[in-house]
Amino acid sequence: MEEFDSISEGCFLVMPKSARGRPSLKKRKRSYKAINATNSRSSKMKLGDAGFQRLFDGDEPEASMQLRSDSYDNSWRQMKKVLDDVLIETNQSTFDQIEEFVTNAHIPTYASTGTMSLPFHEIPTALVFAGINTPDHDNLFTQIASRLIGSSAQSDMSTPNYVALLQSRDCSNLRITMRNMIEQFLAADVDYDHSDEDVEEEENEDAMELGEDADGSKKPANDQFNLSTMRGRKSRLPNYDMQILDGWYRHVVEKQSNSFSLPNLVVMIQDFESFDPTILEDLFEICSEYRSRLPIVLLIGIATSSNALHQSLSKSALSLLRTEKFWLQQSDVWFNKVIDELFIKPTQSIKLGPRPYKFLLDHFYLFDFSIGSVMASLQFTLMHHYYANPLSILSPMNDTPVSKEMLVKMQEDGLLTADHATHIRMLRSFRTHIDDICEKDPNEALRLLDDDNYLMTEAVPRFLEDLNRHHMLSYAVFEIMTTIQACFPTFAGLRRSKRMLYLELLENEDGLANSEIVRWLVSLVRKMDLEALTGLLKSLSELLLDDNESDSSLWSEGVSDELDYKKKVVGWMERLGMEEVDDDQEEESLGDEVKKTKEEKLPDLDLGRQTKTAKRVKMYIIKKKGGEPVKVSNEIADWIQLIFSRYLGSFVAWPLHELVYYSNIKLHEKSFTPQPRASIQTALGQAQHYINCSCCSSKDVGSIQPTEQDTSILYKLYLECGRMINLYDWFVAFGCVIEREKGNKKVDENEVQARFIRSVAELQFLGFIKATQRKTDHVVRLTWSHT
Amino acid sequence: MNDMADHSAELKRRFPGRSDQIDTLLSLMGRPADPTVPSILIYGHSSSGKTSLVRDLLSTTIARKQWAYINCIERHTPRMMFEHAVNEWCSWSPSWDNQFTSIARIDNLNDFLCVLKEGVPLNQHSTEMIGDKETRYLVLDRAERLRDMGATILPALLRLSEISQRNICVILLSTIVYEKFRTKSGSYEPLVIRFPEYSKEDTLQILRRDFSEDGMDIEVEDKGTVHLNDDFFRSFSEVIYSIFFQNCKDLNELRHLVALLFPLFINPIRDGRAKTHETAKLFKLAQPYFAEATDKLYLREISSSEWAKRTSEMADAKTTTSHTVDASVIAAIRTNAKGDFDLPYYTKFLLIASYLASYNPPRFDVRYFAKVADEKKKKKRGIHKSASDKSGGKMRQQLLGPKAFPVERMLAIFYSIIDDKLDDAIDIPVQITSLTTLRLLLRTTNMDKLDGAKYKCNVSFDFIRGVARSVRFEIDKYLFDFI
Ligand SMILES: Nc1ncnc2c1ncn2[C@@H]1O[C@H](COP(=O)(O)OP(=O)(O)OP(=O)(O)O)[C@@H](O)[C@H]1O
Ligand SMILES: [Mg+2]
Repeated sequence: MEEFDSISEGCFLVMPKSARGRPSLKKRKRSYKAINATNSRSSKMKLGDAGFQRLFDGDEPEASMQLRSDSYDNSWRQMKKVLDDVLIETNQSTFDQIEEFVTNAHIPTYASTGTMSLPFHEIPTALVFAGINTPDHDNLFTQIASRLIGSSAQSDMSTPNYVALLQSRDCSNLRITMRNMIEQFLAADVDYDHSDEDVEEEENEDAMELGEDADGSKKPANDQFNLSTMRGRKSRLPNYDMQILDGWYRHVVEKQSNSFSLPNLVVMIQDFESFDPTILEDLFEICSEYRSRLPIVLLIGIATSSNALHQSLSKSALSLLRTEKFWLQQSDVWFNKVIDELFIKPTQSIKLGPRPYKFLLDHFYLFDFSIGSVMASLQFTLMHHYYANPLSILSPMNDTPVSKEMLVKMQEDGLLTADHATHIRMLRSFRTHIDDICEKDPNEALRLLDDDNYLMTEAVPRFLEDLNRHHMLSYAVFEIMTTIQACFPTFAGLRRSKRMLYLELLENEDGLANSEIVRWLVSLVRKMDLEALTGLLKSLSELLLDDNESDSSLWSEGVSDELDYKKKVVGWMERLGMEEVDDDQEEESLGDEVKKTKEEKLPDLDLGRQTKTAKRVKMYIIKKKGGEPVKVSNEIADWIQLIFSRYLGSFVAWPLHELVYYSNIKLHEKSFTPQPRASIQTALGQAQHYINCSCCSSKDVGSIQPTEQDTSILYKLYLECGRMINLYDWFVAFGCVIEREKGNKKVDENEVQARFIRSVAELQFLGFIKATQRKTDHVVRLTWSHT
Repeated sequence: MNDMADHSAELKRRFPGRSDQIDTLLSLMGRPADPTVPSILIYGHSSSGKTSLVRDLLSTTIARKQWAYINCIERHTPRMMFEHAVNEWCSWSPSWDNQFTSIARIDNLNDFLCVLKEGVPLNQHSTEMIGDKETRYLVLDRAERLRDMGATILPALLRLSEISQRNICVILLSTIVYEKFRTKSGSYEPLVIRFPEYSKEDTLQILRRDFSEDGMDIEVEDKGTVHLNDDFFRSFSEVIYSIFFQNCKDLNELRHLVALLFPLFINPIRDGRAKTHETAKLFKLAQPYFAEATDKLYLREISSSEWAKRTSEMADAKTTTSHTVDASVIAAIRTNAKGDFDLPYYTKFLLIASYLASYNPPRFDVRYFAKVADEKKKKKRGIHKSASDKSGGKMRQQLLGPKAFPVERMLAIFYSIIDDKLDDAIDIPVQITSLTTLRLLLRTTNMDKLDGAKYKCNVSFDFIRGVARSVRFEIDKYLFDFI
């Protein structure tokens, strides 16, 4: 047993990581960075262009490859910007509140409203609830920190702040915590410098103190020596002494004596739950000791709830704090917005196909709520799309779909080759398209198949344009759908969130066209009464206004009559005798419209002439009759039935959708939910998959070939064993197999033993066996599988 | 001597209820050059006035450089402690201008003794001798922390004057009794002074000091100002005392409560609902706040600023009927419960599985979680059994707290309680780790032991019930012997 116990013993190499670590590490760190730099340079040389390679077996033009690589950079930059912007936007108001809190923290306001002062000044503390995914907090807290620092730069009026951001991983004891905090504050001011002499001094002083701490006693022999060298010499305070901060602060305040508000010192504790509470208690106590001298503001990041605070801190520590609570948006708010921005809206970017989209949703909601992993997943998508798909040069770029001119230009520049055309023809969506039209329009089909030039410069832009329009229209109809759905708040059980509807739209063969929800909505609309109808029409026309602001062309260009949505809504409203939602605005936007579409002119003018009294009279009549609403609701129902089934079809129906939708789920799964155990088992059990050698590949999975890897042999023998494995038996069996390899000649016993031991150690390392005391010369088998 | 009497009288006036202790201390100190006892331990409850009294006393009776004050939490290493003491004795303060240097470098107790023996050279010509004539004092607040600084420091400090041959008196301040300081090897015993709890009369006296002496004027709606005098405040603080003294002996807490409740108490006077002399009515009006304050304020579930903000918001939004105001204030105070957090779906199940593993005995796992055909029969037995157990032995796990469980067991439960089949995804271990960082799970084995890690579930039953409800999991059915 001992032989292999030692073999698999691991060791860990811990590299210095923090940039503001101890001064004594600086030199080492610099060389470490240099190493990094050189590393990356050499790897860049090898890979070139971030690892993009020429496809078509290397026949792809250099420029096309370059284009793919650039497009990737571009689109990722754009996407990243959306992701970041949404994150900032969702938390904007909380950030503002926190900033305000910090600014006002030390301005006595409520103290004066209360008639008595509190027995002591509590430390103003912001509790920031940031959601449970702690890795995401790095980003958020750096943002808060930079805002707090930044506010000083913007105007002279607001209080400037100094910020120290503490994370549990660099605060393992009080001393390190204090040093960390003080150094961060001081680092904000450039003119505080460590001279080299100090560095050395600190180093040996630290060592000494550690010794002192450990046993508290000292050797008398040393003392005489110390006496002569140390005594009488002035020495610098240790760098974790609060007095340094105090003195520095006095200095800062003196320097900026002109401004009358004093800067705050903000101490941010990012991950409260991971801190050792005793360290924090001491830290609070120290801060509170200096409360009259230093305007310290605490900012505590809490992932769970304020219970955590009450559970881990003692009452006396809690009573030092004057807490106020701030909630950052939960990450799912961010996620929903991102889905809206990136996928549901008709943006010109790569979209996710049904399975990657579902993967993203599931992963987020079922497992981790992690912003970071969503970002990684999306980046990976883009990367893979542009890296492996030669046709990605045809994917939308710079917010426009690839147009005809661009394609012509590309062809002239030699970016497009016959290979590209072939590739397009191999796309499944293209083939179905050909199948569809070959009866109706055999000439066109033939041309598409034969004429490269026609295909690339005529057909492809047309397809892409069609696809793009499909996006626009289906988005608009999708919005109508969600608006209508929102009008039935009581049917909570049937309602679906936007993201789930979108999933359905992607997943179903014919989109949402004939789905249950459409049938449900249509039947509900049919049954609407006058009041509900007015509400519905109101929200529809509001939607219309929004649309007009953002993208007025969308509806006016609407090719078909069914979609002449505006006219219809206005007509219905009128028939119901409703006042316009907002006369002026409507009129104005209608005015725009008039210029564009002539057909609309007449009804608009009619509407203008209509007087309000007339409307009222009409309304009265309608109420009396009661027939009109039923008619209108039926019409609306018919209309939505029509547009839903026409425009909410699946994207799969459109040729060349592969250029926009990323559907490769296999790679995604493999990269983001790896299954290490399964791959190890295959690697050992069917090594031929991994080592590509012909001799080992046997049809019979269970059989053991002597030519195989030692560890594989041992593993296969292992599979035949019970819970306890007798090492000697195992060894003998192993020896027999090895012998066969050598043509049944006797093999050197020592060699067998050595190989055996090495393989056993490997299996132990991989976690297949474990040493045991229960039975001598046995090991315990740890894995069981059904193969 | 006359001077001394003045000081003592002044101090006694400032610290009601501490005259005996002041006398004792002053007589122990004697005149500046008198030898003193080597060490004094002052102990008493938190906020019994140890720190403030000793500092006040020293600063009024002797020169600043004769005494040094050290908070042992802040100066947590021997070096910081000694250097700071010597700095104070030499009226030296490290600052930006002197590059944050101490007057002398003292790394350990030995250096400290040397410095005491030889004095500190201030410049070429003069050396500050410490404790050669007048007594120097070394005040160590939070002295219980000295015990963590190494075994030799505390015994040496207790007899510092003897070791150093200097006139030095060490005063230790602590909340714990001397018995807890004793070391195995035995050491010199300090003179112990206890700061006892205050009597009711003393407490009221101290509370009154927060109230300005010549009363205060408050503005009353449409009737100018009204004067509140001492007696008014006294009757208020008496009630506060009688309500809270049962569970709160801490003076600071009482003052905290007084300061936050007083504005509410006088609110009715402000808006003319009551007169100054109608104390009974005032108390009736303020009663709901007092009740709320007992648990929420005292436990700091609401911080002072939140309290102040909410109550002043309410005061601003003046409503005519008194009843609704109070009710809405209370409601506003109670809405603190917001902000429970959400967990990902499977993580919730992981937590539930951990809870079950922590509170169910392992031998019943098969009964609860095995997915076998005769599930029905087993369930029945389970219910029957737990019904008979309901009376509850003393050893119920629910009462004993969570038990540690191996991860494998928890995972087995996890896979049995989720409906869908999960590929063994990499995310599960990641989520276990993240639950640990959130302190919802506690790892009970060491981090360096990778094998066979054990965890405990660190959430309350109410919490887990909430989680279970959110995923429609009936946790009650799976818990053994729970009430
Ligand atoms: N007898 C007293 N007279 C007046 N004020 C008092 C008296 N006792 C305590 N206080 C006040 O109570 C507050 C707390 O006192 P102090 O900080 O000295 O208590 P402590 O015993 O040091 O508490 P801890 O053990 O928590 O440090 C101080 O503001 C002090 O002025
Ligand atoms: Mg104290």
